[in-house]
Amino acid sequence: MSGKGLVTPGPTMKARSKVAVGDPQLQAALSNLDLRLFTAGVVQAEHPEWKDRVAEIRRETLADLDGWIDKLESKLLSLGVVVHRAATPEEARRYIIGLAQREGVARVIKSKSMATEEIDLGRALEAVGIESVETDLGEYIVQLADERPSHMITPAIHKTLGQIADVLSKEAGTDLPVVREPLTAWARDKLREKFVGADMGITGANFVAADTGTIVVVTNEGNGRFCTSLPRIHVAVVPVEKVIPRFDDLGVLLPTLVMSATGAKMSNYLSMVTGPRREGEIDGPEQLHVVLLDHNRRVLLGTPYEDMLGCIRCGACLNVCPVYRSVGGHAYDSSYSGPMGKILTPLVTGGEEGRDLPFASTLCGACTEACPAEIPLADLLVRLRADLRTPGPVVVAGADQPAPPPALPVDHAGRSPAAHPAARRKPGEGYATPVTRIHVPTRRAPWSRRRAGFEAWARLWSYPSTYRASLAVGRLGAKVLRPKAGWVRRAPMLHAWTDSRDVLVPAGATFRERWAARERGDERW
Amino acid sequence: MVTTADEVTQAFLFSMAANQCATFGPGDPDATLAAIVERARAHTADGTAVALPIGDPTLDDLGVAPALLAAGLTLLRPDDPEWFPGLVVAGVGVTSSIAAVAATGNVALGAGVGLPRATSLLPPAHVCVVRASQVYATFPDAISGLLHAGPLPSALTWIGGPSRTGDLEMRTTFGVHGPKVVDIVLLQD
Amino acid sequence: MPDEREPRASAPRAAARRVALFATCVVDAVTPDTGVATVRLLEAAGCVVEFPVAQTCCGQPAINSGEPEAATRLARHFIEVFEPFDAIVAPSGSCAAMVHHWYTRLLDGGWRQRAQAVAEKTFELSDYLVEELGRPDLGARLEGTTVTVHDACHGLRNLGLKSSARTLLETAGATIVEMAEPEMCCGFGGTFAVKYEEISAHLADDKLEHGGATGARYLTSGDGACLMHLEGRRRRTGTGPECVHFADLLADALPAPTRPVAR
Ligand code: SF4
Repeated sequence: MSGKGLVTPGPTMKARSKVAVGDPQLQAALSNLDLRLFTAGVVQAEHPEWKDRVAEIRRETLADLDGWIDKLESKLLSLGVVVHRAATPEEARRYIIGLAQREGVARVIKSKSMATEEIDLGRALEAVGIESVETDLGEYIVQLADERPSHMITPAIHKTLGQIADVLSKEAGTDLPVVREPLTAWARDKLREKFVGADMGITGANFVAADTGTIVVVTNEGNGRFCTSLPRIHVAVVPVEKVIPRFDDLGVLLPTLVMSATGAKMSNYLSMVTGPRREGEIDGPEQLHVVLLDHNRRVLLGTPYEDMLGCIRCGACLNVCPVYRSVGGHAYDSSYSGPMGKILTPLVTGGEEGRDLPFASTLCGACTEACPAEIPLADLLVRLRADLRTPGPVVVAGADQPAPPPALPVDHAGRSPAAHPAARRKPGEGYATPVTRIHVPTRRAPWSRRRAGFEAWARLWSYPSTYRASLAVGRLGAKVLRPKAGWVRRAPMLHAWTDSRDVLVPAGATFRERWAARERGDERW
Repeated sequence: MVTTADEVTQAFLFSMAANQCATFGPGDPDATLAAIVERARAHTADGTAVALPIGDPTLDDLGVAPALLAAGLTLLRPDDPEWFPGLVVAGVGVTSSIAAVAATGNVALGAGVGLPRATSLLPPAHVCVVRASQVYATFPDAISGLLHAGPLPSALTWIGGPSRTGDLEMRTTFGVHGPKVVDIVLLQD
Repeated sequence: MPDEREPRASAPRAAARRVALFATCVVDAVTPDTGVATVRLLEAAGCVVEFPVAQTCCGQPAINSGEPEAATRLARHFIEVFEPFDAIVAPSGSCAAMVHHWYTRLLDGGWRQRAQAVAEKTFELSDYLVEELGRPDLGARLEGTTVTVHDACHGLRNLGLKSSARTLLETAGATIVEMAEPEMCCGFGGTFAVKYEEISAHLADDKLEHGGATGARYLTSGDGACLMHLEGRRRRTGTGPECVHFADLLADALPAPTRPVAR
């Protein structure tokens, strides 16, 4: 990403974090997240068996992802849905823009979706002159502010009510009160105008069931219902891992998703779309297109990062994350923020974005504990720190992947679903060659100063004599540079620590020296 | 855990009320019909129309259309060429549900011929008739039940209550895009 | 929800009285008093403590910096040094968690088995005293002392430690006043503390504020590094209770040793 549309701009996560912790408005807005601190525990408390079941379903899916995708695709085709497999965001955008242009679409209404955020679809549509309106209230606010969403469930969490009122007042051309209800009412009326007469609705999908071909969109406001009911074309952008084997799995997946996301028992609306409008029906889309987005996901299968594809985008890991709660989503400068974003961003962008993100973690493990899909987020962060040592795409430690499936030309212009090349496709085929390489084991990591330093350190500290010597050198250094021991405000070479805290300069004997003294009888404890 | 049918019904009404719906019943067909008419009248006091599907078995069995007409209310039906513009200004949409859940407090509506998706979406109020026999104890039960009841409709819409958002400093605010009022009328069948 | 956390590597076994102390590099180099306190507590519980002098560091700084090779080297060294002993006790949940969580993930084959065996007998101090030995009463007296406990992350989430330090303190008569969000990270995070110093300090302030709001005299925990970070911040800002390792609190409240501790 470009750093565009961030309330906390900066070239690095560190720089952006510095801005974020010093922004009182942002800090005030983020404090609202405290309300969601507990949500991760709700599922555990009310349905302790669900977490395991969710993880089981996700693992079952990922164990044969291509198989489930093929099954889903044939089901969708049989329902009259047009399926497009997109290897890259660029391919997905090209398909959707091409479709919109062919169909003479003037306005698109969008329901909040991380996938369309990932492929930056809204801006791409606007760039070719197609009006794209975000319909989720939070998304609409950030769109009006020309910002990016900062939380996958609550996109405008970085804004206080006052700031929101400013944004909406500017659009309204009049001063709206800083009160929730009138602000909401104004947005309702404004967006109604946009809903009526929109030709295309674009959504993501929280899940898509392979056995029934059902696309599930979860919302609270009803905008997802508008996007899937009124326009004559509905496009669902679906990252491949959103497939689930069975409609029946929704029974556990949906309540788990919603509880983990907001703590509520269920979201206010669920739209379950099974094919386009049927004969004799007077509303619903005439055309339904599903864009299956790979974007470096399938190459993760069989690697330690496969677990990451189990993510159901509940946002619980963001809500409990001490770093996210301190800096908010824009500090990550990535579609996905928080713990899951620190992992997913470098992976799906082939290492082009977010390389510093995995280091911006205390590794406290609150995310792992919160995650309803049982993804070992903290462990993956640690692995990624190692696997990002090689410049370029993420190199997954020790994983030897089968060659990715060959590319097929994908071009559906003017074809009926039946003539769709996917109908003739063999299992697993149909995406372009992925960007991410996965074969070089960690041990081959190239020389770097950090690596050399740690290797040397580990070597020294693998022998008691050299370890002892290094402690002695450290003591000597402390003595020479700073005769005063104990807690001090400044110490040479430690400014990164002492800029914000005092440091304890050790004095006297090390523990092992005191132990030896005690053994000799010089000291009694 | 709710077990008996009666407990499930009570739990359902409780959950819907907790979701900020007005609840009526459980009642026999006569009481249910009376409640529907009363709610429809209340929502169209300003002279707006009642949007009503065609061919909905529950609503037809109850005789909702004739009752609303007899009450002097204006009906808007999907076979009306002015259905869509009419719906934008209608006062209420009346529908039935094909399933409901006690634990989570939501109702499922199926789209179909004569049963447009927008009936329960565009008007500011929604009156939903639920048969007690269709109330499942839990969400997973309902999902399995719907799957085995036959082919899924092109659109299956689950509704918990009035449209809401948490986007403004995470405090729930009602009436964003969908209906601002949802009335649940429970039919004891 | 302790049962959601990683299962304990071993069920409580018969009391092993001979224990090897893994002091940890931080204690060895910077806070030796905590090491002395640990020995005194273990001895008060009837243990015979040994200190294998070949010990160095568990390797956590390396793994957390994305340098698994260096961490593996130190893991092997740790295993070689400590595997002859029946029980290994560390005054740090984080270092014990390193052994439990990462050693088996870093090592293969025979080394992995050795890692597993060593992990099964490696304990965090309070866990060892309370759960393994069943000796929460060490004779320390802390009546009238109010304490608030920070659940340091790795002990909490990798080892399932929650009650043992509290049990020791309460048994000694201390009054525990729980702070808001005791399980929220203090912001130390190893190299994070210097790499993302602003966030780190921000989180320390939250922790100190929550601790301060309890009115407790001490904020205690089982990880020296977290406490150094918190105490350093407290000394800078002047906010919050004094941050002290629970071992130091308890050992200071033991009956005096026969001769004063040499300083
Ligand atoms: S990683 Fe887990 S907790 Fe985070 S959003 Fe995904 S499913 Fe939710």
